[in-house]
Amino acid sequence: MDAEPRAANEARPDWWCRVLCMLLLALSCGLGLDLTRFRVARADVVRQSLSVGSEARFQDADEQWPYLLFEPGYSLLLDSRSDTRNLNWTLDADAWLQRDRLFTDSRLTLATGYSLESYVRGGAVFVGPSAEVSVTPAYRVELDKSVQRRTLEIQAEAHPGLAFGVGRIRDAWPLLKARRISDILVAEGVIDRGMSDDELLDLSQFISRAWRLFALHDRPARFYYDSLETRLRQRGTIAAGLPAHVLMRLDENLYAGTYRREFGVRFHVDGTASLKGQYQAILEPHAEPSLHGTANVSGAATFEFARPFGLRWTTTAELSYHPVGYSGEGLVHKFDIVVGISYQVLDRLDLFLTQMSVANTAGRSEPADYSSTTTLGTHYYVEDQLGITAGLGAWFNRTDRGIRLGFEFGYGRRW
Amino acid sequence: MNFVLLLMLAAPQVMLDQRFEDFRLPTTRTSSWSFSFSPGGQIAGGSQEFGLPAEAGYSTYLDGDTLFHSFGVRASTDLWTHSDSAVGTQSQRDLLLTAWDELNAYPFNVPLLVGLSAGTRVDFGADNVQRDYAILPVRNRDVSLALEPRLGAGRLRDARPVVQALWIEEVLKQEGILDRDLRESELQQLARLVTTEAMYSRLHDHGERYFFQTLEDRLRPLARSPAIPARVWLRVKEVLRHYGEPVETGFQVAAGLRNDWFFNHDRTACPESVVTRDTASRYSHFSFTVKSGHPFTPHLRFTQSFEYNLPLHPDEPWPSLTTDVGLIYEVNDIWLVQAEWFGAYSSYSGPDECEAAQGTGEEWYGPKYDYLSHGPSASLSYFSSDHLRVTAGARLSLFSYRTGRYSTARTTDAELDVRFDVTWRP
Repeated sequence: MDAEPRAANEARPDWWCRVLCMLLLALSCGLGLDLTRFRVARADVVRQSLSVGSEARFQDADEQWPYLLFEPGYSLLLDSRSDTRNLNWTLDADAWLQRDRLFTDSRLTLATGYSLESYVRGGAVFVGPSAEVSVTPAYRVELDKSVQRRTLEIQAEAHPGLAFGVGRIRDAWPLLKARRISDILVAEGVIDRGMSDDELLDLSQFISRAWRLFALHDRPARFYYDSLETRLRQRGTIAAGLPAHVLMRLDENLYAGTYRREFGVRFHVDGTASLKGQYQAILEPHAEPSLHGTANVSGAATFEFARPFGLRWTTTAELSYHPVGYSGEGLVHKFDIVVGISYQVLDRLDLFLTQMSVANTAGRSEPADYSSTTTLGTHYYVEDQLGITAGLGAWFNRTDRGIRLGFEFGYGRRW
Repeated sequence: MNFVLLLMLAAPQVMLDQRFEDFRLPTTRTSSWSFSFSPGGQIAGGSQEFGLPAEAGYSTYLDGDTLFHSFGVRASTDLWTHSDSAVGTQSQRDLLLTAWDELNAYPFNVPLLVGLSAGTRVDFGADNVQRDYAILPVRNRDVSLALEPRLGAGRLRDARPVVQALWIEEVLKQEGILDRDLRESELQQLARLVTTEAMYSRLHDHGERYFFQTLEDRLRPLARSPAIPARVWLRVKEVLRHYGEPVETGFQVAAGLRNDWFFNHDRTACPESVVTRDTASRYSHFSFTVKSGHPFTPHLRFTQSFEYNLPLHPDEPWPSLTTDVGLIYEVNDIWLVQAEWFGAYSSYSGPDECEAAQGTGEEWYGPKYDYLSHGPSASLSYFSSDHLRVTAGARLSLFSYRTGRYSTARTTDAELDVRFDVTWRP
């Protein structure tokens, strides 16, 4: 007798799950291109730069000093990005020598930074070690009332960090941009029909690695549009070159909205340590050198969710936890929750709703606190004539609450 | 001797690049009006705040070889209230009207400049704001007027668009789009089109696409093939965005007299009485300028400017004089070599040092103060599109000043600045 109702209760979650899945599927397929098909293409950049700066000033007046400044520098950048690994490494060496009648300041800064986010065997588990290390030895000579004082100072800093987690958040903005390029080419009559999904995915691969052109060249726009045009011609999307006004239209900034279209689910834990040390010695017979050091550790746990529906809807959610330690206050636990939904009609209308909540536990001298902010906003822009922006925000915290509202309407004609 | 003098006077004229002399600005005209309305507010705890700002404006702009005229009016209003249970209600009403007009004309095609700048600003405000722990009604009326007639002789034109047209021609030849030099008429037409780019940005929020459409229509008939690659348009855009010094051509002497009038009326209703305050002031300023420019070739040019300013109001007794003589060599849009001789002079004759100290509580310069600085400078900038950037400069400044009540001796300082910067990205 009891078996049937229990079976019915067990079946109910499956039914809701199916409805939810159908709804998500309908939204993702029915509202246009499925952005979740996007994958980043691999691109690598190695860049070195050398710089030398110098400045000299010679004067004959006693109250103003002649001086000499010499500032050489070297930097090396290695950047490699792909769908399963992001690696960034920088090495900087900067020297500084300034000399005037009373003061000589010389220092050398050596700094290196490394960050990696790697998905183990291309799966869902990732590790992300990072480190920044810098050493700055400095030597100063000061002349004070005909007494010369020489100082040697060494500053060292290290900021190692480690992140690990499960899941993947990708940003499909290159695919959305490819779709926008397709829309412009159709609107300008360069192509008769919009690009197919395969063509858009192919173009988005090029766009996702175009950042390397901007990292390599001082005037990157010509290389970017030249490569874009060549690619469209090779794929047979366009027969001849792109007209000049179409190029300029592709290059325009949007007045509303954003290209960000993140998707996926991810949970990760991040930890960072900060170590600083300073050694200072006044180079005189009876002076004692001094040594100071500080160390602190911070961490966070974060859960992220993002999902675009079609080209226009996007949803995001982020839950994070940060234990924060203050000197003499003990450990304070801080929670942030940010939930957002936005709707964008390409480059014209942007409608968004965000909810941000922050809560932290009590410290020894501070009471527990919380705050919440809900913002509903929209921006509508009609080229050259009309712009409307409206926003409504409600917020509250432990002691206060309030509502903010704003509206902006602008209309004009030019001839 | 006379023959040598004649030759020296004639040589610069012979060396003058006629393409710059021939340049004439095309006439462009735009007008626009706009209206905006932006109410907003906030309710938080025991306080409320609301604002109701609105603005409307009209402007018209005409630019040409013989006439420049810009005119605009704008009206803005704001109503603002703030209520707080602890303080009470504060409110503010404001109406601001501004109008401006600027005219530079060369009537009858003779080198005679007639110019006029005029502007007015009227501000009506009524506040109910907190002052000294009490909320007092305050009314405020501000009116200001500015008028500057100018008169000049000679004609100075900026032929920078000709340089840009020459660079665009160079890019088109390098990219194989052109297989011949542009004819003089084609070059002048291109230069005139370059000057209209600013008009496109006034007409449209996205003016660039409309400008390039026109540019493409003009260049396509000259091109060897109808397909012009994207890279070429982006290089042309780089030329248009490149900052360069004006290429001044001709000679001009001009004088102007600027007059400013300010009127203010304040009325504060204090609990026991009504306090009103009326103030009026006027400032006058005379300026005299001599400018000339002489492009020898598309790359090499000479510029000169001399400016003298004389404030005619006793509160501003600082006449100043600046002068500049420069020789500029501009290879293309990535190279610039510049040599210049600059000079500046200002002098002050004020009240006695002790009087000034009593009046303001500050120690001031003496009854006599004058300052002179001059010297040569040279700079080199090189920018390679992908690998190398070099900037170098040297400037020698000679300062000379005399100050103080009893100081009659002139102090002279010399300062040499040398700057050098190289960035290389292999």
